[in-house]
Amino acid sequence: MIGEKDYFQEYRLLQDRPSRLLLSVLFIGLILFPLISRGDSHNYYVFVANLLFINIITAVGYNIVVGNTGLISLGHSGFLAIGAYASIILMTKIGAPFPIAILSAGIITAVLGFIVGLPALKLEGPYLAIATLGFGIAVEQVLGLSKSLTGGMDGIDTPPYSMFGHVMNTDVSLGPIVLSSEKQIYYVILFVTVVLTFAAARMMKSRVGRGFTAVRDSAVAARSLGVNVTYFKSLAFAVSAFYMGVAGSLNAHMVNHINPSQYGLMLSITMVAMIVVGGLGSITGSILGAVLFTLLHQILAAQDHLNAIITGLVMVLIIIFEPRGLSGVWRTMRGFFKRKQVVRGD
Amino acid sequence: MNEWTAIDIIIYLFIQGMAIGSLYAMIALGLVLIYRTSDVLNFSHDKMGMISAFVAYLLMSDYMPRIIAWCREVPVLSSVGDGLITGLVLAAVLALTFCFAFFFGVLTEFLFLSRAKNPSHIGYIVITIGLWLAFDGAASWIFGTEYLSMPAPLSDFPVYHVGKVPISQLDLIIFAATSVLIVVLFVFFQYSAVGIAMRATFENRTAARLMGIRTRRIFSITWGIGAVLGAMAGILTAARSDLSNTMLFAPFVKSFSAAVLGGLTSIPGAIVGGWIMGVCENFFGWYISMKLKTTFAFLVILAVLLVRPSGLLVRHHQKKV
Repeated sequence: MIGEKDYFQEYRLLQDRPSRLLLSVLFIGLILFPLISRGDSHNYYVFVANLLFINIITAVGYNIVVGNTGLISLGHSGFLAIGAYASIILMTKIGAPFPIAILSAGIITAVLGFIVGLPALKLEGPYLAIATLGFGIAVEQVLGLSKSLTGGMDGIDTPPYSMFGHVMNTDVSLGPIVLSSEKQIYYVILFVTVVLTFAAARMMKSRVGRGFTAVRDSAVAARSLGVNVTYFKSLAFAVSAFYMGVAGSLNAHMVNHINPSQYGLMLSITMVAMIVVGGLGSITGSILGAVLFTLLHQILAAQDHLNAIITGLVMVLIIIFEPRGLSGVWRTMRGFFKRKQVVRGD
Repeated sequence: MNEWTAIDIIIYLFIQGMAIGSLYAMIALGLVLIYRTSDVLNFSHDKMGMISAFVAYLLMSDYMPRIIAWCREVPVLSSVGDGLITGLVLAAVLALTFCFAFFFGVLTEFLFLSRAKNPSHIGYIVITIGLWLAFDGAASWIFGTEYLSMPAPLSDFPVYHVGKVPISQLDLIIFAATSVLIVVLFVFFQYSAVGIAMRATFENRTAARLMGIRTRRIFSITWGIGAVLGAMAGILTAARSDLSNTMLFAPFVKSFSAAVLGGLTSIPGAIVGGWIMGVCENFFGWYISMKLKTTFAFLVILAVLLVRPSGLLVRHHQKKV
């Protein structure tokens, strides 16, 4: 792809008018979505949409470290847990306002991600996967230890969303429009998701993103060309941990109660499934994967085992038949309609 | 336990740790064998072992009493002692289970791993994680999620006392099984044609294929052997505590650290790593914190990887560009 256009065209996020139009329509649709009805079942759909957005943040952040930088981590559920607990503790024990709690949760997690990323400098492939797997389990166990701070294994009640002195657990009516608690939260989460997704897209097109890709494709070659591999590996961990921290705290404040055991290996595996099926190293892919598995999880909520079997088999089959994931399928289709040769495999 | 001296406690913890460590070693051995021949880190290993243990359970609870009753009817066999009949039938059941495990491993490799078109490390890891999830779902669907205890011959083992220290017969069986395993594996890799071919495949896959070794078949056999080792560990773990959907997960994570400790590609390393892991963890659990046992495994992994990334028993392997 590079070479067909000049640098600044390549650097632009939205390259052609149709995609810009499509995105605007999608965005307006997302803003209007909570307003179309007011039934209880609709509130459920809004709740699912909230979950979906949080999963998109998670998948986009996770893809930065796995897809773009090529460091496989199985401990990212630990970062989600730390983000969630950090913002809860900041709000309940210190009394920090909600937006600041979310942001500081992200920053705390990012610092921690940087520290966890340090061993990643020496490890690669399976070794890193094992070490991070251990990290995820360790976080789960350590959070269960302290009764006074984290509520132990029983978990902890979470304070609701609040913004500028307004607590978002009651209905608000703006003229004819009644906004339930879910719908108010929806707009907060939508805003954060859009900002973080665009930030990630921008970052991947910048010097930093190219650094990540260089480290993934060949660390040795990158180093010999003057790319600071150490810096980019730690940075990838820190950035993706920031996303995890924000997603974790957004999720924690949306539900009423969290406990350490919900941040287990299963969560990390769901993340892997999302980005692998969606497409490694692709933001469109992260979004598609998040949509697919959030919906699948909701549809099969009653049948846990079926959910596990289908998710697992989809992961296996996508690696066997289309390693580029859904975004690869999408790219092929788009190329087919444009009747242009598609460059295979990035 | 009040009258126990410090020495008694240490001996007790050591023996228990060695028994658990032997189980870790068995799981780690399977992981290492698969990793060093086919470069795949098998994250679904614990689920494969668990499914095999469930197969053994079903065979034992459904068919074993009937076969034993039938044997008593036969005039020739009725003169043989009851214990011998039970032993023989148990051996047959275990043999069947190991056959099942072997073909399960071979089939997994054939159906899923060998189909992938030259995937990366991440690709292989994702495939086995997907299998972990799928096996987990299938097992909880078919076998349920409750805790079961193994049927008669594999439960309620007598406990012997050496001084004040109790030693379960099961732990002795585990030691015996591990010793036999070590000897069998040594002979297998040193003298048998398949074992030598496996070592050749590990050394250099392309060269091995050029020398006429069917590397694909070697991969399948390795997976089969790995799955049998997992099944052994699964059955013994089930006999030691309970049989359940998740029983092998914690031992599995610790076997990972055992394998890393020994260096992921070293067979003696996996065994020694398992023992070290089991004993250290037991002392850690007794003297420091019971709840943080798995966290301890993580710390061991980190420490080993930071100090000696290639493990205790492997010479450092420089990556070629």
